[in-house]
Amino acid sequence: MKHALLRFLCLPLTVFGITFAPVPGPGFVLRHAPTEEKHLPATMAGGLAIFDYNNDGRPDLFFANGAELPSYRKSGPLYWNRLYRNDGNFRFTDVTEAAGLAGEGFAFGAAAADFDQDGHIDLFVPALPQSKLYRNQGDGTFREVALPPLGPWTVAAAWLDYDNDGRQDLFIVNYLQWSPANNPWCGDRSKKLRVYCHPRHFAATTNQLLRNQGDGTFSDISAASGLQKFPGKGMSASIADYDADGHLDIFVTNDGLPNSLFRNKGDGSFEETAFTAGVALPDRGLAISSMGTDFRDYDNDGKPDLLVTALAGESFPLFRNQGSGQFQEVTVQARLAPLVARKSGWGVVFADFDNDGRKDIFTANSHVNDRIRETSADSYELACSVFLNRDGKTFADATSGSPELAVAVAAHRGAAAADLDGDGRLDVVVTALGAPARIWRNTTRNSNRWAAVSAGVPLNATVTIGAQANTASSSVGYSSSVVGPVHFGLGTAEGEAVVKITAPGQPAKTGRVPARNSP
Amino acid sequence: MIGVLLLFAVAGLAGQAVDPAALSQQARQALAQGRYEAAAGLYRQLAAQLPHVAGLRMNLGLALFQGGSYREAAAELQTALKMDASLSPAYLLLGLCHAKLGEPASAIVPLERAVKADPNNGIAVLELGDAYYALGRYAPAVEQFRRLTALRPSDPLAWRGLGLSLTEQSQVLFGQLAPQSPEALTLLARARLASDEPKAAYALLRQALQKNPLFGPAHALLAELFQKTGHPDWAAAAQVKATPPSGPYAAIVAASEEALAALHRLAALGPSAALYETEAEAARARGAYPEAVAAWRKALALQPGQANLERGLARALFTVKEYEEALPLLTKHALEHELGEALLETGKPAAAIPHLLRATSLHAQAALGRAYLAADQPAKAIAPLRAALSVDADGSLHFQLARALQRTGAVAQYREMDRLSQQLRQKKAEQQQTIGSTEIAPL
Repeated sequence: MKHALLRFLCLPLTVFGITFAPVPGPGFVLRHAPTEEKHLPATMAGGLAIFDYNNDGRPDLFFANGAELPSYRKSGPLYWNRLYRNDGNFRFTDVTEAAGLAGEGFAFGAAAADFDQDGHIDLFVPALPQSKLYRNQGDGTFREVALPPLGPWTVAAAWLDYDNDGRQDLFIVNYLQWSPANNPWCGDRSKKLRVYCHPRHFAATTNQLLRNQGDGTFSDISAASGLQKFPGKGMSASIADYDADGHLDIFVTNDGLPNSLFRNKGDGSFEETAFTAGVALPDRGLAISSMGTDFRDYDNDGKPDLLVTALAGESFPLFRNQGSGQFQEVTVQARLAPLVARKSGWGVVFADFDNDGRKDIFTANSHVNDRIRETSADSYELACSVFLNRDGKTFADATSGSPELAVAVAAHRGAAAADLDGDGRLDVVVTALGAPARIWRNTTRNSNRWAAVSAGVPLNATVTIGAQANTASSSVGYSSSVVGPVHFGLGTAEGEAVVKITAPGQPAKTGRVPARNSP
Repeated sequence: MIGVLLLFAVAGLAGQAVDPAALSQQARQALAQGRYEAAAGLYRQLAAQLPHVAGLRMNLGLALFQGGSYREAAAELQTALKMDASLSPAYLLLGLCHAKLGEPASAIVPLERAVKADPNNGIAVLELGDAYYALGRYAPAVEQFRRLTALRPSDPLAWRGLGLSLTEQSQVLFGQLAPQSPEALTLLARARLASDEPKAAYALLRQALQKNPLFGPAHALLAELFQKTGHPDWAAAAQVKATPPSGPYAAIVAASEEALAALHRLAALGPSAALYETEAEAARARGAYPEAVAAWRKALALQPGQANLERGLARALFTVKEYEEALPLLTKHALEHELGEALLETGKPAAAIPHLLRATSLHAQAALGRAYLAADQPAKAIAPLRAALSVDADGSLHFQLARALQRTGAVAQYREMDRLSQQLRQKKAEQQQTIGSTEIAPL
C-alpha cells in the first residue's frame, strides 16, 4: 500500500483538467486463447460497440470475444460475445442469450448501424473463420443476415453511405493472409523466444465494400468501386468527408504498410490518395504498425483530422487536415510526440472529455508482443492515456489526473466513449486481453456545459455548433463502434446552441439544442 | 604512469641562476602530487635554463601529458626525441599522446619503437594493438594482443583486444569472399546453425551445394546440422562427402574460433569494465539494444565517469530511445548528431537544429532535414535531405524530401521523389522476405 501511494505521489500532477474513476464493469472478460504457437488472432481481439440496442435511451455495451485457437471454436460461454443492457447508474445486465448474440468463431470487434432503416441498430461482427451481420429485430433479439463471401481475415468494418442513396453500406477491413497452417516460427530461437510474427511474413489482402441493396441483402462491389486494386494489411477504418466534396471517404490503417485513404470520387468508385494527401506515412517516411484511428476535427477548423495509434517508437501520428485534400503531420507541433514516444496504442478516441469545446484524446495502450520486455525496454501491458487538448493546437498528458487509470496496466485493445450515465460527461469503456473490460467514469469537475444532438442525425453526418464540428461516425479506434447522440462540450456558453447538420447527399439542416449543466 | 617511466633527474648542476637540482626536485614533487600544471611550469623553467638536456623536455612532455595537454606534450616529446633518439620512454609517451588525441596513425611509429625498445612493456603493447585496431590493421593488432595475453594473462584488456581483433580479421576475410560463393554461403549457414536456426542454415547450405556440389566443408556442416536435428542417417551420408576446411574458409573459421576462445577467457576472468564493454558491443551488434544499455551501466559502475564508457551508454540509450536519460550524457560528450536527434524526438526541433548543423554525417543531415520539416521550415529541409539521399536504404529520406518538396509547391519534383521513395520501399520489402521456413531434407 505504501508503495502504491508513493507511486501516486511521484506522478506529475500538473494537469487536472480531466479525471476518470473506475466503476465496476459489466463482468466481461476478453478471452483470446494465447498459446505457445503464437497464433496471430490471439493478440488481435478486443473491439467493442456502444449503442442503444433497445431504444431505451441508454447506451448498451457489446463486446466481441475470442475462441479456441486454432479451431476458432467458442467451446463454452467463456468465449461468447456479450451484450450488456445498460440499466442506468452503471448497472448492466447480460442479455447475450436472449439477444442471440453469443456468436461463433473468433471475433475481433464490431460495427453498429441501422442498415435497414427500421429504427433499430444492427451489428456487424468481424470474425474468423466467418464474420456475421446481425439484424436487430426490435424485440430484443438479433437475427443473422447473409453476406457475400468475406475474407480471408476480416478484422474490422465501418458503415457508410458511399453512394448517397440513403442506405448504409459496409466497408470491410481485411488484415492479411494468415491461417493456422501458415503460422511460421518467429522470434529468437537461441533464446527459445517465440513471438507473434511481424505482418511482413504474410501476404497482403484487399478490403471490400458491400453495397446495401435496400432489400436486406448486400452485394460485393469491391472490384467495381476500385478498392480491389489496393492491397494492404488493414487494422481499422475511419470515415469522414475529408475533402468536403459531399462524398464520404475511407481511411484505413495498415499494419507495417503505408496507410490507405480511399477518396470517394462520387461516381461509385474510389481512388487511393494517402500519399498525395500526406497520410500514408508519418513524416519520417517509414511505414509503422498503424493500429487504431479516429477521424475528427480536433482544432475546430471544421475539417476532420486523423489520429493513428502505433507501436512504441513509432509515435501516434496526428495528421492535421489543411484543406484542399492535404494533411500535415503535426505530432511534434501538437506536443504529442514526446508524450507517446514510448507508448504502444490500439483503441483511440477523439472526444471532448472536459466539455471545454475542444476534443481530447484517449488511447488504450499495450504492445502487440507479449514478450517485448525480453528484447527491449518497452512493456507489454500499459496504462491507458488521456491527452488534454489545451488550446486547439497542443496536447498535454492528463493521465496523472486519474491515479487509478494511470496505474491500471493491462494488454489494452479496444476503447470507445459515450455518456453511459447521462450526466453530460463522456465515459470510456476499454477492453484488455485476458482481463475484465473496464469502465472509466468521467469524474471531471467543472462548470462547463454540454449538448447532445441525436434527432435527425444521419450516420456520418457532420454536426457543427459554432466552430466545433463532429462527425457522427460509428467507427472509432480499433475495430470499435459507437452509435448515439453527438456530444458537444460548450464551455461556459449559456442558452441554446445553434446546430447545423450536414449529411452527404442531403440538404443541410439547422436546429437548436439547449446548453445543459452537468450535475 | 609516473611509476612506469624513468624520470630524468637533474643533479650536480649547482651554480645556475636558480638551482636546477632544486627546481628538478620541486618539479618531481609536483608531478608526484598530481600538480601537473605546476610541474610543467617548473620543467619549462628548467628546459629554458638547460635547453640541450633532452631528458628535461621529456619530463616536460610527461607533465603536460599528465595534465591532459596532449598536443603540447607531443610537441615537447618530439623535440626531446630529436635531441636524443635513444630516449625510449619518450616514444611511449608520444604514442600515448597521439592515442589520446585520436590519431592512431601518428601513434604507430613511436609505439612500435617503444615496443622494440621494451618488448615486455604491457602498456606499449596494448596501445600499439589498440592503434592497429583503430586503423583497421587487424593482423598486426592480433599479433600485439597475442603478445599481450602472454605478458598479462589476467588482463581483461588483452583478451578483449585479441577477441575483437580476431573477430574483425575474420570479418575482413569474409568480405573478400564472393557474396554468393559456396564459402560465403557455408559460413553464413555456420552462423545460423550456431544461432539455433537449422532451417535457415539448411537453406543456405543447399544454395552453397548448388554452386559447388563438391564443397567439402558444406557437407561437413550439413552432417553437423543433420546430427543436431535428429537425422543421424542423413548425417552419416553427408559426412562421407565432407572434407576438412582449407584456404580462406579455413582461415575465417580459425580466426572466429580463436576470437570466441579469447572472449571466453575474458569472461572467465570475472567482472571487469572491459568485459561489460565487450558485452555491450556484442549486444549492439546483434540488435539486443536493452542488453547493451545494461552492459554499459555495469561497465560504468566499475569505472564511473570514464568517458568512453559514458559515450557508449549515451549512444545505447539513444538507440533504445531513452532520450530523456541520454540527453545529459549526449550533451556532456557533445555527441552532436545523437543530441540533435534526441532533441528532435522529444519534440524540440528548434533546439535540435543547431546541433545537427554541427554534426557532419549524412545521417545527421537526414535528421536536420527532418528537424526543419518538424519546425515548419520545409524549404530549409530540402538541401540536407537531398545531401543525405545516398544513405537512404528504405525510401524514407526520399519520402521526407518528397514531403518537403510538396509543401513548398514543387509539384513535379515531389512526384518524382515520391516515385523513387516507393521504389526503394518496395525493394526493401522484397529484401525482408525470410528464408527461415525451408523444410529440412536430405540433399
